[in-house]
Amino acid sequence: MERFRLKNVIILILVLVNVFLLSSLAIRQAERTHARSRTLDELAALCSSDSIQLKTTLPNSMPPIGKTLARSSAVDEALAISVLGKDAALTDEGGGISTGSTAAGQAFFRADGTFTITGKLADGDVEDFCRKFCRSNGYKDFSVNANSESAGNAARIFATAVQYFEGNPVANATVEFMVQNDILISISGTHLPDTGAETTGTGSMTAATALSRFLNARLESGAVVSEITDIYPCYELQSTTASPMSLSPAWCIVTDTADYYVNSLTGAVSHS
Amino acid sequence: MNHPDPQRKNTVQNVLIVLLSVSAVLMFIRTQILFRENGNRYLTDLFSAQAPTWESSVPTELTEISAPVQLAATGAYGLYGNLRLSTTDESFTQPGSLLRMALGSAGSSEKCSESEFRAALTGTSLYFDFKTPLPLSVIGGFVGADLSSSVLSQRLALVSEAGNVILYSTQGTDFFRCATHVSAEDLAQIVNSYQLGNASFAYELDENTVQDPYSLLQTDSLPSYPVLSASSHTEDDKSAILSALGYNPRTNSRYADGSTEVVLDGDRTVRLSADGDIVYQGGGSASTVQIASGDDVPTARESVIGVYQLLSGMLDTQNSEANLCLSGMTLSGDSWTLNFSYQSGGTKILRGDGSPAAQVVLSGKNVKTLRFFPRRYSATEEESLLLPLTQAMAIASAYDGADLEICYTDNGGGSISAGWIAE
Repeated sequence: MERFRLKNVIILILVLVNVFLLSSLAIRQAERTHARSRTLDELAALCSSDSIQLKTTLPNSMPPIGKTLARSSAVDEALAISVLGKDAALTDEGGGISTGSTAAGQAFFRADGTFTITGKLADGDVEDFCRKFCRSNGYKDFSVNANSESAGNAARIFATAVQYFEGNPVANATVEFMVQNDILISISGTHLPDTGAETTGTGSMTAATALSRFLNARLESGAVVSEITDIYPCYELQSTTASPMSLSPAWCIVTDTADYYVNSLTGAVSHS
Repeated sequence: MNHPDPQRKNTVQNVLIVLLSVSAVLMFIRTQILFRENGNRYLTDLFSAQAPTWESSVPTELTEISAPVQLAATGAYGLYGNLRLSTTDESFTQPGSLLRMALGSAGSSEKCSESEFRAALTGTSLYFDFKTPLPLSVIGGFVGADLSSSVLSQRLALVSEAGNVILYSTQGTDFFRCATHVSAEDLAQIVNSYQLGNASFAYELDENTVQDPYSLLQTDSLPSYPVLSASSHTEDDKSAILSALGYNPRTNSRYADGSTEVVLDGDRTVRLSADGDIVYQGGGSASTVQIASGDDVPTARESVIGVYQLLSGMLDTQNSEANLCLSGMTLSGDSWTLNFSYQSGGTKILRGDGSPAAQVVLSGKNVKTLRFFPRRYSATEEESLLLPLTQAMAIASAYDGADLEICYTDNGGGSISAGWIAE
């Protein structure tokens, strides 16, 4: 009986503690929501003062964690084989260069993740081939060049797509498809391995901070912007002599004139 | 007789206690996360209060060590020259990457003539001058190429020839060429990204008579070179200097020799002079300073990295606008001799007496002798006054075969200016 009563007391205390913590949590969450709302209002007012319309909400998510990537010869070879056929085994030429060739064409891979595949790669339904290539190799946002038909028989850029890494777009890692006489003659761009080691410095810059950095940079540069239509986290591919392929977390700010990228680690602002 | 009700009640109570406890813990954790996100780190700061410490990132690869390099890009419309570059600059990333690919994919080399070398430089090309003969393994290390060659070279060029990229190199007074797997399109793309026509090689200028023909000279207006303020190490730095050399900073085994403090440890001595000079003599004792090495005799790369780490550990240069760069290295038996100088913004800082800022002699992996004049530099608002190029060339003509370039000269004073040097 005593034990029964003691447990009831413990349960009562725990209920009171839970109620207290729940109310504390609710208050803090309300404060956070209010602070975010206030920040958004202030940023909208700041944009208005610069004659810029803020037509998007600020995401609550944080940018992804930075990664250092290492070339994967297996990934490169798989990509070459998917285009040139199973005989496109790559040869390591040294210096980070790998090459391969078949009757269909030649492949050239570099240390910084860029590649070029040329030859008679596809005819017939080129768009379908390009879309399948993108789906198989982690590219999204496939976009056919609206002016591709007007170039006549000259080689022209047919379409582009963006490399994604762990669900985030990599701003400056794209692929470009070139056609001539309705034949796909070249695929070139950047291809990243599937995984990478995490780097130090996760980039804890919020979307609000990134937007204010962008506004400051725009003021200094005098760039013409009248609308901000989207803000989303992404990666920037950076190549240095120490690290040929590293992904730096960033925010992409989409405007009516260009896409701007705010590096989450350094705050540097660049544009496409 | 069984009484299921008390048993069931007991079970329900236990389950409730567990659930409520887990819920309380989870909510407490969530509250703390929100607490920290809102900027309130009182508890964290209370228990982690530490004085800020000097943290310098010690390089572990040659790619992290800055080396001065002059770059020339030749295209259809002339030559672009960057005379103030270093291997860690962002603007060196693309040409450095191309050089890495070329060095890594280079085939066997064959000798060629100087006239072939000069003819190659007139085509689409990238030219690199590391200003001092260095082992190819070290040059490769600066750009991330893994080479083992100990052949000394100073000047390299990537030249587009018949759709291929050929690597030319100088080795003393000889010239060599070899094929690479670098794409000629990649070379052309980088060359075309520069605004050509701002520089020339000395041999292309009519005014040049006796100068080093491969001196790169800027033919348009000279960039500005700020006057630098300079300071030597202070009393506060002595602990770091002694610690880096394996001494106990609080040792009493020291005496004054005039204005020089001499610190002893067995048969090792270090002399710290009042003007900032550090002279270390390693003995044969077990406590001698060593650099990291896989074998008893370090490779060229290990020597550079190890000595650079040792020198970097002696002086806090976080707020200095100059850093150490390798200015020469030679191997005699199992003994490497490495010279380091300072550079600021890609411009070398020379000592007035011509000696390097640091000279370290290794015996195997042991530091046998070390002479170091550590300095800190920062740019001022004042600009250095420089002679026009033609006047500088006229004066330099008195020095046969000299390489004419702009450097700073440090005579130990509090400020230094840039000027033309023919060496």
